[in-house]
Amino acid sequence: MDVKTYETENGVVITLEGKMMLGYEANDFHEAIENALDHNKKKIVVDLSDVQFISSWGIGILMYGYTTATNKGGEFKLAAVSEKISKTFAKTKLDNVFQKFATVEEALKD
Amino acid sequence: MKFVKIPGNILLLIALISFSKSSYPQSSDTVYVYANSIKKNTIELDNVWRYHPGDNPLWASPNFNAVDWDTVRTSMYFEDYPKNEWKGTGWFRKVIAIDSALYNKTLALRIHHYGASEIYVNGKLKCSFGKISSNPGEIELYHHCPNPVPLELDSNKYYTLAVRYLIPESTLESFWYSKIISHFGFIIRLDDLGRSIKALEEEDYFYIGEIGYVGMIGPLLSLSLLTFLLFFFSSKKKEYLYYSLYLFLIVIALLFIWLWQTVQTDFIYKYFYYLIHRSAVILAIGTLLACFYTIFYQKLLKSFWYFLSVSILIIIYNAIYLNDAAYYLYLGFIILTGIEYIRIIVIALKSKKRNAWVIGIGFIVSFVVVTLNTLIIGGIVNLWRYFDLLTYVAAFSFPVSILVYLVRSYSEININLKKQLVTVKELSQKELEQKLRAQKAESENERKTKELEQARQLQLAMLPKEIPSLPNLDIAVYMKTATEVGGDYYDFYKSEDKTLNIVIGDATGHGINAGMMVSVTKGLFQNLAPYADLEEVINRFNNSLQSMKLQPMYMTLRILRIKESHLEVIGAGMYPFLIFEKATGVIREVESAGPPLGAFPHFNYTNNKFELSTGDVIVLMTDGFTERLNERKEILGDEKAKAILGVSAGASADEIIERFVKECDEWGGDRPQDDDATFVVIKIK
Repeated sequence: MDVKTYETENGVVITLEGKMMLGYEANDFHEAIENALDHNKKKIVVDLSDVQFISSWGIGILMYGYTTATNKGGEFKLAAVSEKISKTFAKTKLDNVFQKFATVEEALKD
Repeated sequence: MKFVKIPGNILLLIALISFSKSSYPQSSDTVYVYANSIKKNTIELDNVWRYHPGDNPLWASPNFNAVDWDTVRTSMYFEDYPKNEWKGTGWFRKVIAIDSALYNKTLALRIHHYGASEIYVNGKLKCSFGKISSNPGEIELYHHCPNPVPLELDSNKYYTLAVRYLIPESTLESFWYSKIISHFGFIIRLDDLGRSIKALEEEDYFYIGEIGYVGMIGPLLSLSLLTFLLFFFSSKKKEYLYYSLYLFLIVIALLFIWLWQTVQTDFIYKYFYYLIHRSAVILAIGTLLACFYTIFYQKLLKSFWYFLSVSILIIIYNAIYLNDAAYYLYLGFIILTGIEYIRIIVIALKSKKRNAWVIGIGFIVSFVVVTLNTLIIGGIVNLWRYFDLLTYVAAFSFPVSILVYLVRSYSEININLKKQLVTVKELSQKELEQKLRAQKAESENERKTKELEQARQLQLAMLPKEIPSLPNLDIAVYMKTATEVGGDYYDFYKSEDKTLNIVIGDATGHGINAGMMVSVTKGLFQNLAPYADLEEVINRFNNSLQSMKLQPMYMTLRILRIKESHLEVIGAGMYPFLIFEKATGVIREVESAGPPLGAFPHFNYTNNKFELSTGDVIVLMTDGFTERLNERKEILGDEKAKAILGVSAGASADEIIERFVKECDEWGGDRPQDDDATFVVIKIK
């Protein structure tokens, strides 16, 4: 899975490219988040439109993103979360933790 | 011009032969010399002289009447003179009549000479060359061109020239002698004194004497050795070998023609020296051809072998006959090979072969010089004094140009080699760096593998050594770790009141950190399990993990507490677990109470309570089962877990696990396991 980042006016969008978020992308993802926060980009949007499956490790990665961003006064938003991923979040009781948006644009607007 | 030139200088030799064979207008015994004519021309006296074999001092006298003597030319071919009478000594007489305008003037006698002689003018000894003696040991021969001898004229009209001449070898009539000496005798020319002195100045040319030979042989031999060593130790290129051989043969040719010159009377030696010289020249020419072929064609062409065969035949012919025909064959071979040289060089120049111009220049210089020498011999250009010097230039310019070519090629090879060496060094450096990187990566891998193994050992060490035994519970466990430690964990804690605490968890990560999280979890579980309130247990768990800042690691966890038929359960971020109710046949999914532990401080986890009956089955598992991927990257799914439980609930705890494991393995196929898979199955007895 590739981790791609682009900056917007008030934040960064991290796109996860690839269907399976198994956890091996952890370093790239963490680096992208820390880099954004270091550059004072407080709004971090993770585009999950491509992701169909997330492992427990993947969940840990998102949790780390969430806690890191919020601890440093940032926002952590998930965009285009598929139904399957939503179910996973529900099963692991994370559905109330993450802010979810239908699209990246919406997440950025908020 | 010398009477005897170096025969190696072929063109000059031809000229000599043709000169000595030329015929001059026949006149009577007396040669008339007019002031006008001698001012214009040199008068050749090599016409008809009176000749008598033997030796008699009276024959010098002007009064002696030699009218009954034979007439001969003083420059004679071996086969021309009367062999029966000739004993190696004889007298020659000639009368000169002068114009009154020449009275009391001084003319010059210009002499070409081979042998020993005494020249008398009007009965008085004018000059002598060599030494005539009846004792063979005292005889000295003079084979050169002496300085002009002044001939002072008085008011007499007639002057009698009498030459006492000795050439002992001519009597030998030996095979060897006739092979070497085709003619003997002398030539006397009458000249204007002034002109003869001028001619003398002109003839003051650069003679290749002893120093000249040493000067040529020395450098050529050194070059030959040098190029051979270059071939032997370094390049292994055959053109260096051929060139070395060519120079060596030239040295042999020069050495033997020098010896030929130094030997005056020992004709058998003289013959062989000359033969060796000629053979060496032929072989040198052939070797040079081989050198050219190798330079410009990188191999010996077929024509080389024709040339070689012909050259060997010519050498054999020369060895047997050494006559005019042999000489012309020899000359023809030189010309033919020369044409082949020109062809090779012209083609090389046309196709712009690398450095061909160097040899081209050498050849052109050589060619121009030989042409110039030919013109000198032909009398078209009057540069006799430079003849030998030019010969020297011709002999050296070509070999030197080839040497320059070979040295240039050699240095270019060296430069290229150096460049290649730099490239090789760079490549080696890169390769070395790559190797080091690979080694580093390998050792890093080894280290990681070792660390992972240690992590795995740590993780496994955290597992209970034995399953607790309780009379109403059939418990079975199974864990299959992934390639990389997945952080699964299960454990039991049996309290004194027979309450059994069962924990199952999965760290949200892999590797050494997951192993560490497992050990922390174990410590916390063993410490917190005795607490009476399960909610307090999990909340303390959460807060402890959170305070440890183990991020990005979190722990999903589920704790069950079974006392008799009461079940209390609380889950944090774990997938639902399954309860099979035997009475109803229903499989219930029980979700977690909150997110994984360690992320959200003070989250309030709440518990669930159930009553269990005999035959009920509890299946706890980590996502390593439900998320098991097959080769098409499809997940097994939690519906499958329910289905397996549905058909296997009647079996023992062990058998139920076996069923799960079997299904899991079949689904995964050859794909390596991405995550740990753990089962804890409890069947109520």
